[in-house]
Formats: sequence, structure tokens, C-alpha cells
Amino acid sequence: MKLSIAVHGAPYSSQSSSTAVKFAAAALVAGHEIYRVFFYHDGARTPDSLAVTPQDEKSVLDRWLALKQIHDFELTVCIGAALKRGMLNAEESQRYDKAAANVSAEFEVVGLGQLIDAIMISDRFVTFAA
Amino acid sequence: MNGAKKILFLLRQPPYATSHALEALEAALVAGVFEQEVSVLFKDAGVWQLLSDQSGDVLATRTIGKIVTALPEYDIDSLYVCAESLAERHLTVQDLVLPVTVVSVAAQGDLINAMNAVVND
Repeated sequence: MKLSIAVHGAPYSSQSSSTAVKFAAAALVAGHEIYRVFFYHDGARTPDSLAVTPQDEKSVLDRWLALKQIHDFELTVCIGAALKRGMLNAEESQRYDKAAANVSAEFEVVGLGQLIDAIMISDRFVTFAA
Repeated sequence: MNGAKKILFLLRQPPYATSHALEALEAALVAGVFEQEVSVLFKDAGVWQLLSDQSGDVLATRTIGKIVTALPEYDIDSLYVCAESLAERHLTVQDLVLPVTVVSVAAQGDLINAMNAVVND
């Protein structure tokens, strides 16, 4: 089955992203396909490559990147939600003349249309709310 | 559009306490632009989004009720509100910014079952 996932919770203060990456891993092991993961609301902070995780904890961003490296699915973040929260890739950082870019290069910064496309293309769509 | 999906946006968050209502409504509008069969169910504190007597001006933010009234302009006409959520807050349909279909909790299972996808806020 082709699945897409939306993550709405912030990476550290909410369990949403952590639960979603566990679900994605379990679904892949069970033989399902992940078409796209769409990070929205505070979930848009997930690809922050400037975040520093305490040594005795696991970075949820690293867990997503590790899973993507094995299974190759789309990691996408909503551009509108990202910009408002100070999440910029190199292109957006340059466009808005900001001092830094922090969105992990493994994430595509996309419009909300990619959320709707994911729902249209996938057999199942699962939201991990905040 | 061929292959249009039935998508329900389940809005349960209050209009101004967080950004959830605004961003969820923006996603619903985009689903309308993509010509999907979009429904919206306002439930729990999400029913406050429907109040006609509201303004985001004092909070320096957009008025959620105005975005709600834009839904039909995007061909999103299947708007529902939870009967029990209204009653718990001593609200009636007369308090709401546009006409919506009142559905009981008991009937919401069938509504959700009829959908291809549910998007939480």
C-alpha cells in the first residue's frame, strides 16, 4: 500500500514527529511504500539542521534522515509554515536576505499543493497531530 | 477532475490560541483549488472558528471567521458542525458566520467513513 504521512508537531516539544518516524519505519518493514512525508504546522521545524540534541537523546531529524537513506521517500516541508518559523533553505535565505539557512538539504521546501497531491496519489494518508 | 478524493478536514482547535486553525483552513482552501471533494467538520473548540461575532484585529492577526466564509468561494460547500460541541458551549447555528450542517457525534462516524482521507489540524 502506498502511504503518505503528515507531521504537525514540533520536533522536540511534541511526540508527533517521533511517533511518525516509528510508524513510517514499521510500515516500510511491513512492505508498504512511503510516497511522501509532509511537515506542516510546528512540524515544519523538524528539518532544522541547527538544532543540537542532548547526547543521551536521539535527534528526530537524524532518525528521519537515516530512514530516508535506506528507503528513499520524499521528505517535504511546507514553505509557508517553514518561513514563518525561521526555517529556510539556501534559496529562501538568499531570497529574503537572511544570515543563515537551516533546512536540511534532504528536505524539499514545497507548497501546500504537495500535501493535497500526496493525499490524491496515496492509498492511505496518516496525520500525526501536535 | 478524474480521481478527485473525498477529503475531510477535522478542525478541533480554537481560532486564535494557536496557529492551527489558520494553517488548517489554508490547507483546506488549497484542496479546494485542486478540485478535490472537500468537507470540513468543526468540532470541540473548533466550533469557535464559526462564530460570527469575532475579529482578529485586536490580536493583530487575520479574522478566522472571514477565512471560513471564503470556503464556499473555493467550492467547499460541505461544511459540518458537531451538535454536542455547539451545545456544550451554549451556541446555536444563529451564532455562526455561515450556514453549516449540524451533525451529532453518533452520525460523525458515517461521515468520516465516507471519506478517502481525514486531515487533522
